[in-house]
Amino acid sequence: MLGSIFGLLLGFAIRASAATIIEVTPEQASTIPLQTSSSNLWIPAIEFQDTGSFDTVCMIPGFAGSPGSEGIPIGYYLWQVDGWPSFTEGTFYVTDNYGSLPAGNTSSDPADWEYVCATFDTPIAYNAGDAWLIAVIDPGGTAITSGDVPSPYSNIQTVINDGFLSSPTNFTASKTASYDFVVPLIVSLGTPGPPGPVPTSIEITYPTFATSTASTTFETTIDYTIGTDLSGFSTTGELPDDIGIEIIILDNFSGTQYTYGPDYSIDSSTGAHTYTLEVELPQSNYSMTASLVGDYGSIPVPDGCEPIPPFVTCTGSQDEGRLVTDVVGGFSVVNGLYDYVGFDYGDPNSLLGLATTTCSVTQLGGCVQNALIFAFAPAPDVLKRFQNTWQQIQNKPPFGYVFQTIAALRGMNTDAEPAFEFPDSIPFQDTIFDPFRTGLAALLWLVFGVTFVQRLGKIHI
Amino acid sequence: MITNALLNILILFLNGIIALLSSRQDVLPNNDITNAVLTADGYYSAMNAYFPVDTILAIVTFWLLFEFLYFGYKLIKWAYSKVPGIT
Repeated sequence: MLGSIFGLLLGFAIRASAATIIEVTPEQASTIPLQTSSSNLWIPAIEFQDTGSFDTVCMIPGFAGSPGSEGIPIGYYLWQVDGWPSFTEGTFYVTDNYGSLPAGNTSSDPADWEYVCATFDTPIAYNAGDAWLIAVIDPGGTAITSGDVPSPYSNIQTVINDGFLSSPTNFTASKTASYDFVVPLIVSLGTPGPPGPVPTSIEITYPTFATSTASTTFETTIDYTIGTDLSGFSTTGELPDDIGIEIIILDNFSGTQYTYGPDYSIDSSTGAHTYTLEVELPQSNYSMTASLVGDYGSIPVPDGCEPIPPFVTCTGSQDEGRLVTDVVGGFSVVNGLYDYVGFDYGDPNSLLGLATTTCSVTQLGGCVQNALIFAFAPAPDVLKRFQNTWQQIQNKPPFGYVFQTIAALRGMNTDAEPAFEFPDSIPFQDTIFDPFRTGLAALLWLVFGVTFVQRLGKIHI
Repeated sequence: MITNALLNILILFLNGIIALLSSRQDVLPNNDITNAVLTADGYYSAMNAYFPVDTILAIVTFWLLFEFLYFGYKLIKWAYSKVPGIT
């Protein structure tokens, strides 16, 4: 049946008549593991980023069957649903005209695959934030009417509850035979990766300090807001087992990164919540990032893909998907200074701890001390405003790009995973490249030394 | 008071820049520029195994730093020579 014919679908695209083109390239699609069982139902979800309309749907039904399958008609189902994955209603569309499977798509070579487009007689309107489900269908040479189509809501929901990539048990044989769904992945549109088109929000307030003592224990309170109830994610099986919060604190001076969590004990229901973290940090200046993350546990996330609920994008493989991230402004832990200068910058009430009460006619030294403190010690609120402003400027282009580039350059090191290397079976490295590299480095230093000495001779102080 | 005044001037200046850029959205993490640098990191690491890229970078950095400091010294010296009465 067509299920076996379309067993491997490697990409999809919607080409909208309003210049909206959404596609997964064959290169991206090649990272997607292929489906070989006709009993599986794979549903892609897309979310539009703007408003417009489209009248054409294109996908790549790559390796779609054996030679001889070319020319078979291909159409598409589309559901415009309200929310994902817990969509509650949907408008259903079937392409009015069918495409034809090119001969190249029966090849196992992705280079031979082409998009197959099907069209609507009337453009379909969409709005920003709409979530759509798409499936490939084979009309079997017979036009499909909406009466032939199973309830999209009940069947898709059942499939989701059965688990990611599992069989649609209540999808009847006749329906399956008539309408094979062979779309291979859930994929988001636009630039993949966090924060992504996620119908969820996390809003983290600036950390509050509890630094009234001389210890370096740092306590921060993070107020976060969840726009969509995520607690249900723990029950469906194909979405995260649980939702947690992860906090990464970066020492802006040393580059040391401290990761805390994910802590899955947070409240993941809709609304505003507070999460408190208490850690011991050395004195320094820090920036902090907090993320809501999903624990996928044993969820079979395809290799090369990353689960970013409610979508899966193929940008990297990991067990935990990052839901949304909020970068908190920089802060300083300066409690350690307390021992030396006598006050804590983090505590706005303790600045005057530097001042002394020994100012009197007979103890003018104390008066001079207080005067100098008044003249030079910065007020905590001014320091904090400066930190906030500095953080804002670091986030604004073009400065933001400069700061991020510098941070990225600082992260460059020779220990990074090489982009390429010679095979181990060829002993080039030990016999040729290592001696060559060592000798060339020595030669470069020698040339530099000689040139530098000559340069020094030309300098006039 | 003095430090506060200096910081407030800086804050005012930075806020002016921020106001000019208020229509621009914040830079997202993992933008194309940083991704490009991170991608280049892999090639830098790979090349460094066969060619002393780190040595070249160290020499160039040292040289640039030296020339920059020397230029700064000459600049200060020139400005100093412009003070009336100093030759």
